[in-house]
Amino acid sequence: MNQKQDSSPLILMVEPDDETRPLLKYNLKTQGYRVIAALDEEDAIERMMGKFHCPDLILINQFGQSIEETVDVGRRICTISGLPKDTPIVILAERYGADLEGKDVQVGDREYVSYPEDGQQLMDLLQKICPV
Amino acid sequence: MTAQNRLLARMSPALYEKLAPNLKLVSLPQGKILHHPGEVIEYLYFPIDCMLSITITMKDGNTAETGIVGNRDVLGINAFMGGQETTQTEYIVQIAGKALRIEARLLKEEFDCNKEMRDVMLRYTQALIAHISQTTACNGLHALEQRLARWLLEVQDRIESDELRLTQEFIGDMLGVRRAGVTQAAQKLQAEGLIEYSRGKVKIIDHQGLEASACECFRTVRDEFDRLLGLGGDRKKFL
Repeated sequence: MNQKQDSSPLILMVEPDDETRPLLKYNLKTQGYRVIAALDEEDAIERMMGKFHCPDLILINQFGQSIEETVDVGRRICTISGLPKDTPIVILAERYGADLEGKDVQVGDREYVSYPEDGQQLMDLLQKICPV
Repeated sequence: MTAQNRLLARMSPALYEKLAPNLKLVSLPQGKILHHPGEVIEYLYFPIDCMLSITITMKDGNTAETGIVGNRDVLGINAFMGGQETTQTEYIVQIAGKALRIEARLLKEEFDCNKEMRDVMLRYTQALIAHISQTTACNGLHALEQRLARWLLEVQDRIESDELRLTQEFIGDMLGVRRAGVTQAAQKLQAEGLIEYSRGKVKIIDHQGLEASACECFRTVRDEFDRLLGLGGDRKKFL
């Protein structure tokens, strides 16, 4: 297990589900990332405003919204919080069929959607975009 | 015919021989629905190497498993109770395999006139109630990764294989949780060296470690099955 280092990349994680949030945070930290966990868009913006945190990546779990709407959530967090415009945004898709399972799709200059078939796929994508 | 279902193996040779002519070996493909809500139960199934689930689907389409049935169980106990149908539950084949099937009418006749048959079936019903009760409490009190570990152990115990063909979406439905939660819980168990999970296949690689990682519910329910049905000591004998 990698030890947390101040120099390791910082991920802003938006995960509304109370059961998934601690597990995802634990798994990201195990991979060597530092993590700020937020419950939703409003909470994420609040955590970014007036602080010195500047995440290297925003990870959002799709929850009751379309992929497009979830990507827009990531963009608004960046804009309103004054984060760099090139901050990568990764959406973790929630409901998808076998045709998409196992795929990672780039949907914009810095926006990605992951349709994981297992937990390692997301970690591999994060490592590619934002290496520890 | 050799009894490979542990509940059938619990019966005396005399009772088993009486049932045997009416037990039909059937192959059950994954996804086959054996019973729809509201239907009268026509058959009971004694699984050999398949896994069956009792599920409930809510009005919004969300599904959760309320019972798991493998080679220590029988599916369709409502058949020998007062109301011979189920109003809300569905029976579905989750892992393909073989089972011994018997007409509900024939088993009910034996249940009504044979004390040993009643004793075995009522003891099994008591064990099933214990299982459902424990699972209800577990789902409300224990962390997701503990529940996932418990559920994987229950499946392994019922099909007696360390390799389980289970998608994360299916496991999410069975545990009544989001797919992402299953993905992350499985990732954690994998990072701890307890399972390997990839492309819809789960392999248990450290059974003891997985038991230690699970809540007490798996052990509690298994002990209760063994106490009521005496399956523990004879487990290997009938495999």
